Amino acid sequence: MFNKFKNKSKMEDNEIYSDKTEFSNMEVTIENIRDILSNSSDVIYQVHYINGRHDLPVNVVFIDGLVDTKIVNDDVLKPLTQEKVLEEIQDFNTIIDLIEHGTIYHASRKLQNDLEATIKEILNGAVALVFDKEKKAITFDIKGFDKRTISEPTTESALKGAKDSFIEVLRVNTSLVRRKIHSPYLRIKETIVGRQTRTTIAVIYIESLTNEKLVDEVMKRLDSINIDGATTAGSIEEYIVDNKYTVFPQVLNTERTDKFCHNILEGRVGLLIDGLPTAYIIPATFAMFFQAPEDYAQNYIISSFMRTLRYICSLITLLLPGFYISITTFHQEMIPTVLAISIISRKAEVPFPTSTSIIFMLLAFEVLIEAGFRLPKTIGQTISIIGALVVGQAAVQANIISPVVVIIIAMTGLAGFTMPNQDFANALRIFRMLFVISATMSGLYGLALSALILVYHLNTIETFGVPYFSPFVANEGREVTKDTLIRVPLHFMKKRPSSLKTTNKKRQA
Amino acid sequence: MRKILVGIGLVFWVVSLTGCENGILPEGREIDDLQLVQVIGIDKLSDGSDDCMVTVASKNLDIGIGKDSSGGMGGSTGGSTSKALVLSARGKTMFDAVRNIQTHSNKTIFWGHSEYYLIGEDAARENIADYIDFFTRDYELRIESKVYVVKGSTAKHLIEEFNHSDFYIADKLESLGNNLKLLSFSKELRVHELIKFLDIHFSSARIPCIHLVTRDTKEAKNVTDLECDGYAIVSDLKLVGFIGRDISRGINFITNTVDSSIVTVKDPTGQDVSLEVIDSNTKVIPRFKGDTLESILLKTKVISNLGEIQSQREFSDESTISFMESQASEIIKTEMEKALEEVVKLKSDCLEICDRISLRRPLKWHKIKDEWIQIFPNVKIDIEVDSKILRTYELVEPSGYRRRE
Repeated sequence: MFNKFKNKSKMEDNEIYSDKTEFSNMEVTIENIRDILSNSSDVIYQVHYINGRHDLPVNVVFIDGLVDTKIVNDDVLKPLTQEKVLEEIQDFNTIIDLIEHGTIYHASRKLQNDLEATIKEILNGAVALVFDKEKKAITFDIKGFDKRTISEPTTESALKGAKDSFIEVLRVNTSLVRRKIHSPYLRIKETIVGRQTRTTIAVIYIESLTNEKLVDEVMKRLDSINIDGATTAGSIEEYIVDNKYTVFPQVLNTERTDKFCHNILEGRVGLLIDGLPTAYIIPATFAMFFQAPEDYAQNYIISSFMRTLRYICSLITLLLPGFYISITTFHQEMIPTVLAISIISRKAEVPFPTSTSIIFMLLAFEVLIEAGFRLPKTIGQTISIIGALVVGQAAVQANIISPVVVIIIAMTGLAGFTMPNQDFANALRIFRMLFVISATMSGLYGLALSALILVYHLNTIETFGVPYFSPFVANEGREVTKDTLIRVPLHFMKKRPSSLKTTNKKRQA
Repeated sequence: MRKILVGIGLVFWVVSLTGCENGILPEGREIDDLQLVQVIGIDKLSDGSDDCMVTVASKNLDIGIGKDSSGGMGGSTGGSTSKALVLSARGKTMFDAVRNIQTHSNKTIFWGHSEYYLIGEDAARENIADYIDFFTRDYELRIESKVYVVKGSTAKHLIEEFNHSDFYIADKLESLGNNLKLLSFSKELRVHELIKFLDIHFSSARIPCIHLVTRDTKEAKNVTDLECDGYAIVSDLKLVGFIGRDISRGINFITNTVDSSIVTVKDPTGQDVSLEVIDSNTKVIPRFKGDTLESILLKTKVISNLGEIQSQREFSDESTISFMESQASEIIKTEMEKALEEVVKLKSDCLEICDRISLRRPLKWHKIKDEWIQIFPNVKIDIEVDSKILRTYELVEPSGYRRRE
């Protein structure tokens, strides 16, 4: 019964949606445009007479603020009214033909027979000349609006490597990619997502290198998104991932252009969303979240060391609090005697059980991080003072928590900060709580059990046909040591990751 | 969704199959509610009741690292100044006594950190296996713990007396154990080694022994101290005698357990020269006639370095070196002979000779192994020692060798 209602309402929604977008069968006339765009104050409608002749009126439509007015004046309107060639012409068809072939010279001009396309162009910052009688329009792409300059990456900084990062304008971002990859086979396919926002999304890949099926699948999933607007990163990410219920990120986001291009060259598909300064890389695997952009800029021994350290740190940040609870409440015989005595003497006057103080401190730590994000930068320093003094020192001196617990939490937090990707670090934070709870309940046994659950969970994830845990699993043991715990010298990485099933397998001769 | 439910069901099913009786989940204990026992004394009561006595020592945290280093927390709480908390209880069996001891403490006695078992002489003379069975059977106690026999007193007396000194007994025992490696007149023994040894060697064993000594220091007279004193020799599960540290090094030479040791000899002028034994190897060569064991040859090779020369003589000539080598051989040989004589007198098979024969001549050994304990005291054992001086460390000649006499 409920299902019936559900289906019905869904259908109604679809009908409304299709009504609004179905203007492809309408004719390109100024009435229809007015009908759709209505009389918003920023939409400018003007009638110009070609060469001052009343029998040759042409409607000019553009949106104020999206176009560069000076170029409109000089390059479109001025030739339209003053061009000698147009003086003798009597009929619109010839005029349209002449304009289309260069009488009004502008690099990006299009003859539009379709109302939907015309309106799309206008909303994207084009000037449209609408010829009512011929039911045709000519659009000139004269975008001109303020945008942020290309700046240094803020969240992923690197000592060596490119300092440019993506900005909010899609066309600038695609140009940044083009400037790095000059290949003629670089393909930028665009699609529109969002019923209201009509956000342009560019799918970037290299033809004859990237697996075509992967590109098709990405396009298919993007096209199947039926939402109001793509204003945040999640509005695309959450709709295209395979496993909707996992906390682990399945696409890799980056603001670095070099990291983006590196992954495109590996045979992955890149996604640029208009209005967002972050790019997406599809598909992402577990091992990719341990790769920092600097790994390929530094000596391979150093980056291998840092990689291994990051893997160890991920284990520390996941397991250390749970492990501490386990050994201090269930397996005291595991602690070396001298350390056990020192832990006991430190904890002697603390009234709370170890697990309580660990959970309390972990939550306090999370609260500190969250508060740090929310506070304005000018008063942000208070967080560190409160965090260090109140939660750290004062709590220890007041015998609320044992100093050993503070050390454990500090190590846990620090180890978590070594993760190059924030989404991944957050996922680890969530699982850390699971480990703490299971360790509180049943010690190392519970810890082992939850570790099993975690490994099982990671193994069930598959993103765009690539196992999340590859190359550790499902890769017949190949490439396990190439670009994971250690980063071998680049000349050993002769092939692209085989799990991506790229068309072109070799990346160097 | 069904998969997840099945998964959760499986997890609970596995958890409930752990075999834990009380409740599904294991029981946790806060670490500060535990009293970590490090030294366990095992005694037999001498009041004729046939009861056992267990004495435990754990670090006294009230004066230990707890207070004085916590920074700005005020001084120590005063109280007792002894380094260890000592508790003791009696019971019909060891297990009984161990349980009874819990009633004397406000904390849970935790046995997982036990490091030393001290067996009182009376208990050891009665039957060693009786007393250590519990300690090897119980899951919380460690079989890596080290065993000592207390010479001349009960373990309780030793632990309590030593508690008056400035040292914590577990720390003292640890340093004693480390010193044994430098002097090699005895050797630490772990419980699992002991039970294995008893079973292989016809219920014989050698256990390092400790005793209380008093010495005078600058500050006080009659300061109690612990010392290691050779081996306690066990035969047929009973303590039958001691081999003092004057000759107990011989046992280590026979059993190939010398890590390092000092042998002091004379040079041709009569001055002392100390040799540091850096390596020794004893081969046990059985000589069979038919199926009967005629004699055993213990062939020992000792390699030592010149550690100290008290005369300022030149040592470059062969004869001086060989003079000292032969002395060292003689000293070591005497120690081995004396120790062997004592052990044979005590009818204990604790010198591992039987193992060595069985490895060297497995088939012959098979024929004599049943009578070995009768054969061993009567068989003739020859000892050959070959000592070599290898190096003189940094200096070839002692400084001042050009001195005019």
